Amino acid sequence: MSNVAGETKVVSLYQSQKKIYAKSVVGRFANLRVFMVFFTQAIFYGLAWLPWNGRQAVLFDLNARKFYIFDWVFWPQDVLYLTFILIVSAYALFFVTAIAGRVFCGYACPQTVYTEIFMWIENKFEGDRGARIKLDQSPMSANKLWRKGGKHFFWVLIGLWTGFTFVGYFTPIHTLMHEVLSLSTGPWETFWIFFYAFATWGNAGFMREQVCKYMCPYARFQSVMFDRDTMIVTYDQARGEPRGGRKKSADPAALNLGSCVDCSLCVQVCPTGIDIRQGLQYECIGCSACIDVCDTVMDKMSYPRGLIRYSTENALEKHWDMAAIRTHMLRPRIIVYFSVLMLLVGGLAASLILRSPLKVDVIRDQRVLAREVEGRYIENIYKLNVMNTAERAQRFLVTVDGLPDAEINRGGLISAEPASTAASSVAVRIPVDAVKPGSHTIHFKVQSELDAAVSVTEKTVFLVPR
Amino acid sequence: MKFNAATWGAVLWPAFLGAALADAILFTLIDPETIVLFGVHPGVSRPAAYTVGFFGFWCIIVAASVTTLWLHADNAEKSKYAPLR
Repeated sequence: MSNVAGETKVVSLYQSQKKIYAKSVVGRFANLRVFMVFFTQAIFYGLAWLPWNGRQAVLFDLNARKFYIFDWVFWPQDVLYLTFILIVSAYALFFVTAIAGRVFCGYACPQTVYTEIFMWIENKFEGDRGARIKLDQSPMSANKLWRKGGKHFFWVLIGLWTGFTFVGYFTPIHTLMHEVLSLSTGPWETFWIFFYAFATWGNAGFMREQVCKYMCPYARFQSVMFDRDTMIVTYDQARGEPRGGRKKSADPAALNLGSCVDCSLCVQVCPTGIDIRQGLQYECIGCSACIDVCDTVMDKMSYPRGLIRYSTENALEKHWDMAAIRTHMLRPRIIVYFSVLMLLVGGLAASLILRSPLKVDVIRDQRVLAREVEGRYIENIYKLNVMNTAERAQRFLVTVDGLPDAEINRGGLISAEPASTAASSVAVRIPVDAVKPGSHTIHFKVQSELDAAVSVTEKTVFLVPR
Repeated sequence: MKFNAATWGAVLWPAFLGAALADAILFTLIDPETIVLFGVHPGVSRPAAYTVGFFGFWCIIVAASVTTLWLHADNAEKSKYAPLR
């Protein structure tokens, strides 16, 4: 992403940046963002309270080392599934970015969403851009104290609620609520609630666009997903220039002027403080505030809307309409991204559906390798660890095969609580002289009493001493 | 090398993500309750271990990043007078 003119711009990283007073804006895209704020936050604040199978629907129970996601229970052994889910999410993000540019940044990124909430509060207490600039320049007074104090009160409140909810995804939220109400949260829970609250307050209240401009790795590398057919927020230079002020009644053609009235509103509303008229810049988070505000100006001037609009580099150059943009959307990059995404989603879905709700670990008893019992049998002892990932209590029947007349003397029935492990010491014996001395391969089959389809077969060895 | 707020931000945030990843990988593979340090079980709770692990990783990655930045700035400064080709 470079400037339109292609000149090198010196960006100072060594001096503190000017505070940006973004003007609030109304319009189609602003409404969409408000909707996304409510949508994403209803999920974030609400999902933690959703009950499921008599427990929290989504709970990453770090203390019990078990992750609950609706019907699924993941154990540390299932880390590959979670990795897979993260890869699918990342790929979906790349796919969307290649088509529609930084829509994630502009509408769904927590940084944007919390900044939006915090700026709404700021607006309620301190007023819009002009009033805020004035208030910041004025000396301390009762009025200023009330406005700043009120703002921070609600900022801190939202920060704390966010921190509480965050921790509520890692420790059961109902228990956490009781602990908070009785001021008896554990030291680590307390620490994380305050840490996350502080991060929310700092990120959404103060750092804001600085996070996108200087800190976010995604903001930098997402440009590799871009090409000349990616939707971006663009200024139609051919139509807008030469820019200049004029009366509403004036004929721009007679004055040799373009559609841009140079009102600078697009700069005032920009949360990252850039001028979109200089072309695509890496700071642009694709929030479309400038589109909304420019449309209102175009309406006032009775010019057609869309001087600043969602378009592509190609479309702007070749004067394509929306239909042409859509036909060019289907390009090799998109098809490749989409195919890989579908493969990943399909693979993930298949492996989740085919996942066995039972895992078995067989360990030979190291103290007793093999022994003769009752003068007639050779006995080997095994430790069977059974993981019942289903959320119901089950009994598992253990059978053995691979050696003639092999039988299980004890430990052949294992009871396991819902979503927990059970261990059993299993004694396998065969008649003396049934087979030659040495090691023999045997198989344990562990089968659920409730559902015969739930079974696991594990290989191990049976030792016959000389 | 002068470190201003933007530089610190650029160091801290990727390191934060890296620390979260490293912490998640470490404690997925190892249950803190089974850790033995110098022959002694430290007797820390799981949340304590996760937290200490996270901040430990964060500190290490930040230290490495800051060192890289400092060396890099120093190298860039030197190569200005004697270009490295």
